[in-house]
Amino acid sequence: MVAEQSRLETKGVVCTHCDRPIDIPATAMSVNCRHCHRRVIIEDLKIKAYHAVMRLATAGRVEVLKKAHVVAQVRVNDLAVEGEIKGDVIALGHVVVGKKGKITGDVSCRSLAVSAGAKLHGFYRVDPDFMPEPSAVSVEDDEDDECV
Amino acid sequence: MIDKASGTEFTTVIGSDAVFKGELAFEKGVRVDGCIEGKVATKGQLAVSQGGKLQADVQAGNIIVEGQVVGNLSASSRIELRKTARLKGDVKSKTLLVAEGAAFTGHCQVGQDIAGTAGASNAPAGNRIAQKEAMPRK
Ligand SMILES: [Zn+2]
Repeated sequence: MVAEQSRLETKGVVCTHCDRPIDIPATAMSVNCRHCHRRVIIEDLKIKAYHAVMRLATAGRVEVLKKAHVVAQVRVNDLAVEGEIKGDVIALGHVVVGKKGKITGDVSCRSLAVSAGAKLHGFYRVDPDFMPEPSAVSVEDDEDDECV
Repeated sequence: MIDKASGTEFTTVIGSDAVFKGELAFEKGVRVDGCIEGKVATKGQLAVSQGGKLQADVQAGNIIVEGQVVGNLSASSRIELRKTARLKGDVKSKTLLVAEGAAFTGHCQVGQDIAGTAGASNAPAGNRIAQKEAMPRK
């Protein structure tokens, strides 16, 4: 009975491709979006080294660790940066930039915490009500996603 | 309240019923409870309290915002946006602190290398805040 209940537990996330809300099993690491049918990564990622991809997307949390250098368009729920990011960032939740953190690119998020010593260059949109507009997904986006 | 939290006594306070238009320059700290339109420059600390409104470009040593600002902020040391802050404009500073709940739209240039170009170049030492101070997190 307990096992059955936990299997049915769901949580709501926003699709990283079409920005529409989806309900997923609480323990899922990735799902297919029921709106755009693309694969949506849910798991939390830790980036430890140089990582260059077109797009780094997860409906979970991304940590860019001290020696990491990410070159990508970043689309996440929460983001913690101790290393470096080159690329635009969209976060539906909280972005924390540590004292050694560096972001070069535009950032949109709901809240931002920046430690003394961090370096930021770009256009910032910090809005507690921020939510990207649900969008149609272009075909070329399809295979660009990357996880670690 | 800005006074207690920052530990700074402000030599100048723009009262809540005051509206200033034009260019204002101060030697030391100033707290804005009212409204300023134009340009503001101070070597010390500028604080915009919760009811304060600023439609101005600002150059200061430190800037603390709890109210509404439309304009570009440039600080030689630090800019702090508290949870009630609403800022539309560009930010240039050595250090930026943004509390959860604050809203901010604009270009951002933050880092130690910005220090030479941002804000009043020689803010009084009393108003400088240790760079190692940590950002309060949730
Ligand atoms: Zn989708």
